[in-house]
Amino acid sequence: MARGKPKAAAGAGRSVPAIRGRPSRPLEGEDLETKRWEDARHWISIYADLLEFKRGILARVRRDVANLQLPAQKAAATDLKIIDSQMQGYQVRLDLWYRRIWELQGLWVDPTGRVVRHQGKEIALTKREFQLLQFLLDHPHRFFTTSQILGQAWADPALFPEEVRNYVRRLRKILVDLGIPADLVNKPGRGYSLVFRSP
Amino acid sequence: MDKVKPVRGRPDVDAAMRGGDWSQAMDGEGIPGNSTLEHALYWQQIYTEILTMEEKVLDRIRQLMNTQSDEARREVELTNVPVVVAQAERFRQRLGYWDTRIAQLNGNSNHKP
Repeated sequence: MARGKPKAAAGAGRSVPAIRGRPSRPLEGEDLETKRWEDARHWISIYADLLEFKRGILARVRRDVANLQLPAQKAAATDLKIIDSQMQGYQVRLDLWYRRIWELQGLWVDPTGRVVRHQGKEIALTKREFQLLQFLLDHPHRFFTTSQILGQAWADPALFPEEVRNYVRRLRKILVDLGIPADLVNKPGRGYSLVFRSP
Repeated sequence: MDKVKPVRGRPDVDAAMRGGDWSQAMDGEGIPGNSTLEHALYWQQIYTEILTMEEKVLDRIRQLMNTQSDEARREVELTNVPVVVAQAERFRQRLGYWDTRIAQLNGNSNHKP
């Protein structure tokens, strides 16, 4: 996505958003400047695998630690902290690669005019449409419940949950109209997520 | 224990490996040489449990590594494995101290707690 990097962020496009969390380090051979879409997909899969791996280990450690006596639990808490901090670092890298893949895909998001452009087509969005799209782009491949979207994307938990469903419908149409290779998927119990589709 | 060599560019791993310092006791552990048999048995059990856990975690890590890509496996080798190995070694060493203390107390009925 064009808003993801300073040198590509010309014109009225959104400047680079600060990535929250721990500082992240690239792995050996990783080059975020790549022009190859396949490289971006490759690194996305690596980080997704690493996160899955760490989740598996974290679940295992948490389960086992619960059965230990208190002093041992305290000592084992070090393992949990380390794994958790490494996961945060991987998540930051994964987000960077998603941004990069959007960029390579030719997606441009302009918050000033609330315009989204993709491969020569553009659509102006309403404020809420734009906020929802921007929120989902900033947290790709993660699921958010209706109440999380109300509170985090729009910062207005007083809105009715039906509003989310309404705007999800509208965003899905926008994705189709612009030919953006992503689906706004809904999984029962997990919520909504913007999932990149291989072109 | 050999001095921990810093992993270049990975302060998180360096810090974690420093946690493998054998002299580092748990809260309330005290010094084995001054302890009663009851106290020593308690800490032997604590270290046996946590060491068993760390070994299981290490087995699981190695098992999961087989399904990873080369890049991910390298990362796991660099991060998880040395950290867990260092922790396990620390717990093994501490357990050794308590085993020795128990043997000492059992072999010396005149020992005063």
